[in-house]
This record gives sequence, C-alpha cells and structure tokens, in this order.
Amino acid sequence: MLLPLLTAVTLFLAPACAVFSDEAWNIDYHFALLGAPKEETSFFHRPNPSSKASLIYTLSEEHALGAVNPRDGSLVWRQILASGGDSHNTSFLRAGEGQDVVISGIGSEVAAWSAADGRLVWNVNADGPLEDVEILELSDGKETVGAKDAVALSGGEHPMVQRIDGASGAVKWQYSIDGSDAPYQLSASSTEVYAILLHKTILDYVKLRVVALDPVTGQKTDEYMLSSENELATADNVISVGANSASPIIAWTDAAHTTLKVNVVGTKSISSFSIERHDGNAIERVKLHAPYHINSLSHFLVHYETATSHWAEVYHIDLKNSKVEKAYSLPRVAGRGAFSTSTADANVYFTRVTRDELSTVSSASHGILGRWSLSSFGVASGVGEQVEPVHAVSEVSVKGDTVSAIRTTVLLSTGDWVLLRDGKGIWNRPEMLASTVAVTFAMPADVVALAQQLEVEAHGNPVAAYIHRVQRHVVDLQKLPSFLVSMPKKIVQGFLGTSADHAAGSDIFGFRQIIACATRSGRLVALDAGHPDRTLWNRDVADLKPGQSWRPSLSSTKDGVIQVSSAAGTGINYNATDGQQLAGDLPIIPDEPDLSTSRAVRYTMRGNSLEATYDWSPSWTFTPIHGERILNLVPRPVNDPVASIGKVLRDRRVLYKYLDSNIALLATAHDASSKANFYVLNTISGAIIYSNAHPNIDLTAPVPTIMSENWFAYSFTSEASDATTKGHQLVIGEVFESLIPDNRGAMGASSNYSTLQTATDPPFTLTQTYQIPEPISQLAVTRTRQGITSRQLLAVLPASNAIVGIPYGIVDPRRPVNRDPTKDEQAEGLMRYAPVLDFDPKWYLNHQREVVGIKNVVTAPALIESTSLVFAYGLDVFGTRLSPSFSFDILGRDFNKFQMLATVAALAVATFVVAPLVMRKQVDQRWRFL
Amino acid sequence: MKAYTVISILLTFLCSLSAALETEHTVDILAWPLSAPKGATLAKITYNSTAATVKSYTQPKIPSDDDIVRIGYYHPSGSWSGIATAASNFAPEKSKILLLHLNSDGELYHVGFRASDYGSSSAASHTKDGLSVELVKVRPGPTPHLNKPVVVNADGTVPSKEPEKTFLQKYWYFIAGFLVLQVVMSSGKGE
Repeated sequence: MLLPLLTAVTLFLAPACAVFSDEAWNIDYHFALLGAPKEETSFFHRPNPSSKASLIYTLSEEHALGAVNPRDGSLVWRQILASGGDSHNTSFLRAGEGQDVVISGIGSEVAAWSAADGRLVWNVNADGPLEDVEILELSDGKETVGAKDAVALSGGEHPMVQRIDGASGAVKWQYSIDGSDAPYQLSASSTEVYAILLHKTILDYVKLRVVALDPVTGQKTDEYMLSSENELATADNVISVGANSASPIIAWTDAAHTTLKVNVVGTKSISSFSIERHDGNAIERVKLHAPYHINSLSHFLVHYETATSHWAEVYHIDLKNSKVEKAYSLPRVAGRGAFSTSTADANVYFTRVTRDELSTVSSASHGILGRWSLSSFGVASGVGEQVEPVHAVSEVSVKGDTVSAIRTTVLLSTGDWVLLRDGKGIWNRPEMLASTVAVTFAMPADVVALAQQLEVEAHGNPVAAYIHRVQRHVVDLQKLPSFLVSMPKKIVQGFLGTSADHAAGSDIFGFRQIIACATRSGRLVALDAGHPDRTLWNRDVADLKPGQSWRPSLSSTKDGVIQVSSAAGTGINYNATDGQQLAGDLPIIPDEPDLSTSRAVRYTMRGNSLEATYDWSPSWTFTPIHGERILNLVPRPVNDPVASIGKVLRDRRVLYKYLDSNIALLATAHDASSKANFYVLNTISGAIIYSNAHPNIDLTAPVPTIMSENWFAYSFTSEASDATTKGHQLVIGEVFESLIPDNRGAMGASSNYSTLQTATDPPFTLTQTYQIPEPISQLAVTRTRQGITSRQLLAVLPASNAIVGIPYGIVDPRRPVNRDPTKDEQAEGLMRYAPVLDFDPKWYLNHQREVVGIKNVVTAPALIESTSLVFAYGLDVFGTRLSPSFSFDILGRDFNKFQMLATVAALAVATFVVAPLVMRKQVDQRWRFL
Repeated sequence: MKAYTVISILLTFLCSLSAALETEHTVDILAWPLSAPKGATLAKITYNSTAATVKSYTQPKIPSDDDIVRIGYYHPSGSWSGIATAASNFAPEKSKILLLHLNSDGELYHVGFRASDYGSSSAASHTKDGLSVELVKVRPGPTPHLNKPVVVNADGTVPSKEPEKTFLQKYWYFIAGFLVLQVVMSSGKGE
C-alpha cells in the first residue's frame, strides 16, 4: 500500500522543484571576465595568512584587478582600475609574503586592496607615471610584523623613489633622482633599495645606472654605473631586474642574443655567458624566471625561445662571492613553452608547461620531481592549430622527492586561461572575449543546409525535385537508429519538462545561433547562443604583430557564413559552424544584386563631414559649421522589418508612420557653446528631415543614439540652466507622415516616389523627453523576425553595471502631457506623461549580476517572432533572450506535459467512475416523475 | 522710478531696433550637376534670422545626360555642404523652394530644396523666376515637462487650503427642498 504512494510522491517531486525555478538564470548567461592576465602581475597568494587556501590574483591587460578561486575558476572580487588613458601601459601587482593586502600600481596611482574582498585600503598618487612598485619584505634586516611597506619608483618631470607605509599609505620618505636618466626599475635586497636608471650615452647606447638607497632613511648610500659597454642598444634587451630576493640580479643580452650578461645588484662584477644555439632559428626572446622571496635560494632560470622551439638554463648565485654559475639546462622542446617559479620554504621549483607535458624540477638539480602528460588543454581552437602555452603560474607542494600536488594556471595562445591540477584541466576562463571588438550573429550551417535543399526542390522541375526529395529522405533514414535510441529519453524528458532547450536536437526556435566575436588580438571566437559555456571554435584570422591593432567588422550576409572585413582587407568568409575558411573556389552567390555595379548612394564619414557618392560621383555632403564635430551617426538598420505601416488608434483610424529605409540620425557637438545638435537626415538626398539643438550639454558624458522603424532615441547629460535641470535625459522622437489620422499627407495617393524629386512637406516629428536617474552609455533595440512584436529599447547603465530593457510603450512620445489620458488613449496603452522615468527593477536584464564595462549590445531575431537574442560585450560578456510582447508563440518552461496528461487521465478516470452513478440517478429520477 | 521706466522703455526700443537692423548675410547658392567640374551660381540670397530674399536667380545649365544636381554652398571655412536633387526639378514650369537651415545662432548650416508643380503649392513670397526661399530654424530640443512647483508664501509656508465646507453648508438645499416638500404635502393633506 505504501509503495505506490511513495512512487507517486517521488514522481511529483521533480515538477514541484521546477515550478519555482525562474527562467532568469537559464536563458541568460554571463561571463565575468578580467581580460588576458599578464605574466608579471599574476600569482597565487593566501588572502588570509593563517589559512592555507590561496587565490589567484591578476592585473590584466584590460586593467581589471581581480581574484579568482582556483577551485572552480569563479571570480571572487574584481576592481576596474582607471588606466588614466595614457600610452604608458605598465601596471604592477605585488603581494608581500604573509600579507592580507595586494598592492597595485597603474598610471600614477599606487593602491592597496584587501586580498580577501577587494576593498580599497589606501591609495597614493605619485607625481609622475609609475615605473615600478615593490614591497619591502625586510626592513632593518629583519622581517616586519605588521603591514609591509611598499616602494614606488615614478618617472615624469621629477623622478623619485617613495617609501609608502603599508598600513596607512603615508609616504615615509622620498628620494628625488637627479639627472636626466630615465627611471627603469626597483630592486630590493635585505639591506638596500636599488633604483635602476637608464643612462643614454653619446653613441645612443644605454648604460645602467644603479642608485642604492638606505631603506630606513631614504638616503643615498652608493651610486655606480654598470659598464655594459656598447651592447645595450635599447632597454628592450634588459631581460630582468630581479627583486626581493637574497641577491637581486640584472640581466641583459646584446641585440643578436649571443651573450647573456648577469650582474648581482650591489656588486660591479658582470658574469658573461655565451648563448648556445640549438637550432637554425634565431633566438626571438629571452626571459628570466627568479623566485620572489627573500628567503629562497638564489637560483634563477633563463628561458630561450625561437620560432619553433624553446629551452632553458638554470643558474646558481654564490652569495659569498656573488659569482653566477650555470647549474644545468633543460632540454630543447619543439613549440612554445612556459616556465613558472614557485617556492616552498627556501626551495625553489621550476614548472615547465609545453604543448603536451607538464613537469616540475627543483632548482638545485635537474631530476624531474613530477611529470604529467597533457593530451590537450580542453579548449576550442582552429582547425589544425596547435594550442601553445604563453605563460604560467604554479603552486607546488612537494613531499620528499616528489610533487604531491600542483596547480598551474596557463594562458594559452587561444586566449583561454586554464587551470591544470596535476596535469588535468579543471576549468577554463575565456578571457579572450574581454577584448571583443566586433560581434555578429549567424545561423548554423546545418539549419541552412535543409533550407538550401528545400530551395533546390522548390525551383527544380517536378521530376528532378521528386528524385531529390526521395534521396534526401533516404539519407535521413540513416539517422533513424540513433533517433530510435534517443526516443525513450526524449519522451521521458518531454513528460517531466526537463528537456527544454538543452536537448541537442535541432534548433526549431532559432535560439542556438552562432555568435562570432572578433577579438583585439586578431582571433575569431564562435559561441553557441544556446550553450554559451562551450566555445565552438576559436581561430586566428588576422596575423597581427604585437602592438598592432585592427578594426574588423563582422557580418553574416548569408546564413551559415561569417564575413570578416577590416580596413586592410576585404571580406573573407568563414563557415559559421566549424570556422573553416571558405576558399575562393566556393563561390558565395550574392542574394542581392551586386551593389558595386548598380546605381547606389553610399555615404561615409570623412574627416568631420559626411560625404555621399551616387554612381561613384560625389553626391550630397553634410559639413557641420565651424567648431562643431560629429559625435556619431546611426542609420536605420538594413534589416529592420516593420509589420504595420501605421498605428491603429482606438477609433479604428490610422496614424501613418514615416517609414523610409534611408534615414539616419546624426549627432554633432559644439564644444565652445556646449551645445549638441541632432539631425535626422535623408541619406539619399542629404536633406534634413528634423533637427533640434540642446544647449548646456555635458559633452564629456556619453551621447548614445539609436534609430529604428520610424523613431529615434538619444540620451545626454544636461547642465543646469533656467530651462532645464541638471541631470540625465532620454529623448524619443517618432516621425509620422501626418499627425492627422487617416491622412498620408501629400504622398497619399502615389505608390512610388523618389526622395530626389520629392515635392512633399517634411514629415511630422513628435518628441518627448524623460529625466532618467543615471547616464546611459549605449543604446540598442530588440529585433524580431517580422517586426510584429513590440520593441524594447536596451540601455547600458555604466554607473550601476547593468543593462535595462525599456518597453517602447513606456517612452512613447504620444503620452498625454498634463492631463489624464482619454478612454481611447487608455485603451491604446498610453499613460499620463511623467517627467521622471524610473527604471523598473523588472527591466534589468542582468538581474543581480554586475555586467561591467559593456561597450556595445547587438541583437538578432530568433526564428520565432516573439523572441530577440541579445548579446552584450566589452569587458564582460552577457547574453539573453528577450520577448518584449511576452512569449506568445512558445510554451514556457513551466508548462508541464506530465501534469497536463495526468489531468486528462484523471478526468477520464473520473468520467468512467461517475458515469454509471449518473446513469442510475437519471433512471431513478425518471421513475419518480412518471 | 520714472527715470527707470523711461530708460527701460528706451532700452527695449533700442533692442528691437538692433534686432530689426540685424546684419544681413549674403550667401551664394550653387547648382552643381554631377558631371560638371564645378558649380555655377544658382541664386544669391540675403537673409537674417527672420527673413530671406532672393536677390538673383540664374536658371542652371544642366547637361541632358545628368539627372542629379547638387545644390549647396561653401562655408566661410571653404568646405562644401550640399544636397542632391533631381535635374527635372529645375524645369521652368515647377515652382522651386530653397530651404535655408539656420542654427540657433542664425547661422546657415545646411540647405534643402523642394520643387512642385505650380498650383499645388501655395504662392510663396519672395519669388523670383520661380524660386522662393524659406528659412528653417533649428528647433530647441525638447525638455521634460516638469510638474508645477508648490508655491509657498513669503514666510516659506505652504498656503493653507480653504477650510472644507461642512455637510450642512454643502447640502442645505436638499434638506430645504425636502422640508418644503413635506410642508406642501402636509398642507395638501390638511385640505
């Protein structure tokens, strides 16, 4: 008796759980990214000195400082540091041994952050840009008890060394560096602080000048010049200035990388080693890895890299006579490799990551303490591309003569940041997406393939089409066994409502589109909008040299194809599903007539004016008046379907929208009078359809603009004046053919017209302004397949790290002002105008997550009309699906087939049970009355 | 007191006078068929912030194979601003309207052009050989329609509302009517 009851209860458990789960965390995804970590600013550190647990700290190339949990790769905390916008792109991150703060240096600011939660402890601004920041492990020759002090070296007009109190951030002493030598780095030994300066000789060579300072008083104790002769051509050849070790060193090579010179800071002797060549290729890079701890053995590793292979040599320093000796070398291995240094007590361990192996050696001898083979790093890459490690950071624990545990984070050439625990991949963070510069949506090729086949059948002759169809079905039959196998599982999932869109089946709703992201490093990364955790493919498409930038534009002109164009080259096409480059012999048949031969108007922004050409000869020109600069230009999207050409009023009359596919919104700024002008232009003739001017604008704040359908929107920050209040405003303008219902203006009867020959009066524009609580940095609009669904205005709020979706009805410029809406207006959904537009908490697409550094939002229609796909990028990556008019054409996740069938079954049973009773009752009744 | 009034009236007068005598600008509008190497003067126009007149108009010579003509002007800085319009708009039977877009300082920043068959458009003023000119001033940007502020008394207090009428004050006539009715009815019964 009890057993059936129990089964029934367990059966109901799963649906009961599903009722409360919200769609919020299922349909949207968010990667809280840091950007590519830098080798010298990434390390393992214990935030709480008394506990053994450590976190990974990094200051990335995007100037994001953060702590990552090594267990699962989740972000513990993050701070976005302002870089000051200078080209001086150096940043520093240091953590003292046993300290609960990490100290960052960027621009001219030194700041201490609580290691556990990322709160600011103190910050100090130096006079000039920072050249180096170090932590004084020892003061007065013994380890300090409390917070350790920091030493900062700054350049600029008055280069100086400052000692900053570790607890309060107060400057204890500062030493001004005389002369015109450029400050380079800092180095601290147990007894002295050394400032290393670059001295330019007459022959344009570089000499190293070392200034030794007393760490307690800041007085100069010694100063000398290292005789580097004429071999240091530039500062780039100085490979390393070790800091905070028992014997800090300076090492450099000549330009051809033939000899390595090492100097122990504090002495004047220079040891010279000739660099062996292992293969025919020239050495491209020499790196030095030394322990950062003052108690560690003074051993260091020199890492040589050629185009095809790498090897390393380990050197020991004899502390008594400051002599440097080569101890052993690590063999040459093909491909790139990464070395990391870790310490345990005084021992130093070097961990080597190559393409297929992870190994650890002790600095004392070349015996391998641990070796793990790596089959792959578990990241997506391009076809035939070898994934290589770029740099690594390790945490090693050694028991006896073997490594008992090792955790290594590796930045890979694909841009992924992975953690290997004992040689096994634990997590990977797609940090390459933090530098995304362009994005497009594309339909997967398999969906497209069916559409193409159907097209072939539709356009062929009936017999051929029939044969083609039979062949297609025969091919489909081959999938039958696998389909049959998966059938029971599908049915069960369908019953329990757990299948949802995680099923790997076909994508009938168009939610699983491919998102292609072009990164600043010249890679193209494809994500699946349905399974964003998995990178589909990741390939190098632009062979960029270090420091080179590109400005790609991505588009998907044809389903299944991603086209990459940049200023340098014309479009190259890639297959959206696997990233294969579509070769020239696979011609892409243009769907539209080739624009280069037809008579088209093209316009570009050249200098500070818009110039259009018609048939390749110059056409209209819009040049702002003197002192006015163009802020931005947004045309109406090319693919912007509109379902209805008018707005149907309550009384069945129609307000006709001004729908012209060739209109654009141009924003200009006049800096002298802090005025912003907004123009709606006809891009065929160059005529102005609507223009207005806003005085008293804060032009340093962002002025985002958007144009869609027959309306435009922009936002700005206004200064206080007699007419306006200080604050952020959102302006909506809607353009109609005529403001009189059922009137199409002068164009009414004509079916064709040319904007060049137009004789009409300009259209009518309704505008409305709303005061908004915070600035908007970027505007976007949802897009659906046929434009039936109402639209949402997507606004990026940088102040609260959020994205809101404002329904268009809320900001409709037709909202009645200073009066209540009439019955008719109420029925249309128009509310009384309120000057302040508060962002409803329900509009926040990101819910409680913080979406940081969003630079742009792209939208794409799904295959079903109700839904629009949204993807936001910048530093973080965020994506979701929106149904502005609610999901009217799809069953929600909370729809439970089991419950429905159970209800039907229960009703059927009830009918069968009750039917005889009813029958008897009816019969009884008849007998009684007759 | 009187002196102030006199001075203020005088000042107002001077202001209006200066507005009336506002400097007239002259601009050469050029017509530039796409194939032509350079534009030819279409019209000379004088304008101020409120009115514009066509000083001269020259029918442009358009090569027969050109169907697009650029109309525009040179900024004082020497850069060109212009729009494109169909060559057929210059047919003599059409009435042409040149639009001068002025910004809030009364400066010309762009031009526009409209042509229509005679009769369909209203007879425009300042016409010269079928060309008339209209000024389009940039609109001030929309501002939020703020709610009316609460007006306070001189001493900073919110003015007290008029005391609400009591029930009797409001509805006395109903009661009176009822009483009258009662009296009338009872007197009727008495007869």
